[in-house]
Amino acid sequence: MGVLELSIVTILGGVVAGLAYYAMKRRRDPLLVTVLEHLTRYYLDEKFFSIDKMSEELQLPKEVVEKAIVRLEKSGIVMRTSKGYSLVDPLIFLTPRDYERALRLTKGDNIIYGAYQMPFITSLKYVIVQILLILGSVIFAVLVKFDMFGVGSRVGELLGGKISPMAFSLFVVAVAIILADVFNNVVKAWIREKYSVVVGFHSGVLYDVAVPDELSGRITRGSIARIDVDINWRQKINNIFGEVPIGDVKVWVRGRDKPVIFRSMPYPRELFMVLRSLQLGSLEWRKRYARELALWRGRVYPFVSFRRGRRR
Amino acid sequence: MGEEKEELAFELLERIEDAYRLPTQMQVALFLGVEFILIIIFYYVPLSLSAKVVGFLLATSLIYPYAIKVRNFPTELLAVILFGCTIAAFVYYLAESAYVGWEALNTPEFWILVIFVLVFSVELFHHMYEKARTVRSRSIIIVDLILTIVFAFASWMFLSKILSSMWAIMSTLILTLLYFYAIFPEKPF
Repeated sequence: MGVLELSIVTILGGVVAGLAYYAMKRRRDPLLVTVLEHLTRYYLDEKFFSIDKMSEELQLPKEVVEKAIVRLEKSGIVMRTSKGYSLVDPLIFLTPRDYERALRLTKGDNIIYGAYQMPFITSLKYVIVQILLILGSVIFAVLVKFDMFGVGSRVGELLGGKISPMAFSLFVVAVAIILADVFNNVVKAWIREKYSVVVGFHSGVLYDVAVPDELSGRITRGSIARIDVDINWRQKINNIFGEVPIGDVKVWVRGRDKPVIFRSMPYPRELFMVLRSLQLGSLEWRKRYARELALWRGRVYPFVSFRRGRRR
Repeated sequence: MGEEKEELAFELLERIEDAYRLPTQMQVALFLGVEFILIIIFYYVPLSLSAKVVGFLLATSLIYPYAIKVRNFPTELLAVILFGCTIAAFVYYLAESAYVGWEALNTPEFWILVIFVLVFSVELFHHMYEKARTVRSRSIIIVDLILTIVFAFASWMFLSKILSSMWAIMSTLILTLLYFYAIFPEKPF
């Protein structure tokens, strides 16, 4: 095989992919930002809003506002409930079904944080299963390719000449990749059933304690004595290289010796801030940063920020 | 109370993830450092130049999303270009060097290659471009459905050549469902 041909194909592949991305990339939509700003300014503490009212307030055609709201709904910033549209707080990472459940169980409280504990992310079993699936299949393909330990010949005999052993090993790798992804999805679906944590402004912290549970774990806002964030070394590594930043959040409740530990919560420092706000009865920071958080959360426009922020 | 107010004034960054990640310069330095090590490894590995190029591109594509956590237009564009280069080179390499020639259409080997490319390319794209993996937009769902139909067809063409009809139908159905479930956008938390 010529390296020149390979280089040409490689460059062509890159150019085509880059052009496709550039052509399909959504530009900053000023209308969407206007709608979002209006929502975060006037509807942060409102339970529901209607498109008709928004259209009237913004003096924009109803269809235009509706289109923007549908886009925000896809980004998870706005959620359609049985009672109308609701502005979702930027730190709510629940599915629409669980968000509705939380609203129902808190009797329509102002929910300011909602997510799932993710203890599996740093669990060795979880990581090992995925590595075994993918790495095992790749090792199998290498053994077949170079006929190490007679694996290639033996697989050839088993297949009876219907297909080449090497092609079969590629099939095994493909199936292993699918299974690893399915395993990952199943684990995520499982944690959604078992590990919801919801913070309501009036109802305090509610959390699931078992699979069939309906947020029966409860810490009222007045009973929070102390809060702490604990990020261990595995979580630290995950936060640097992984997908979602996580950490343990410990809540000491008055009258109890041991803290309630929420393991591997997404964005633990923000949860800490939410709980501190709850403890102090002040949501000023949330109002102040609602717009930025919502824009960040919804990826409404691509940030090309070269501003140096203060680091912690 | 003064301290508590001070604590609440604690600034939330515009992109809150920044607080958890390495500084941008460190991310770039780490990525370049790993690339340098990869170049040295592939220089000494006894493989053909084509295999070295493909291997280097594959390794770079796997490492890039772990090392570079900045999300903006240039970094996403670079990820997509890298994906395009890698997948084009990898498919060309597989088709040319290996196991099937272009003339070998409608053989089990050809359909295995189609299945492998469908799985590998989608998973690599999900690995490199977060939105395709997590956002359930109409266009992404339509693309996923089309890919699933192609996958089902390729699986049937392959399995019907090596299994009886009944087993081929059953296996195609199971594999297709698993494939769709695997590639369907899923929230990361």
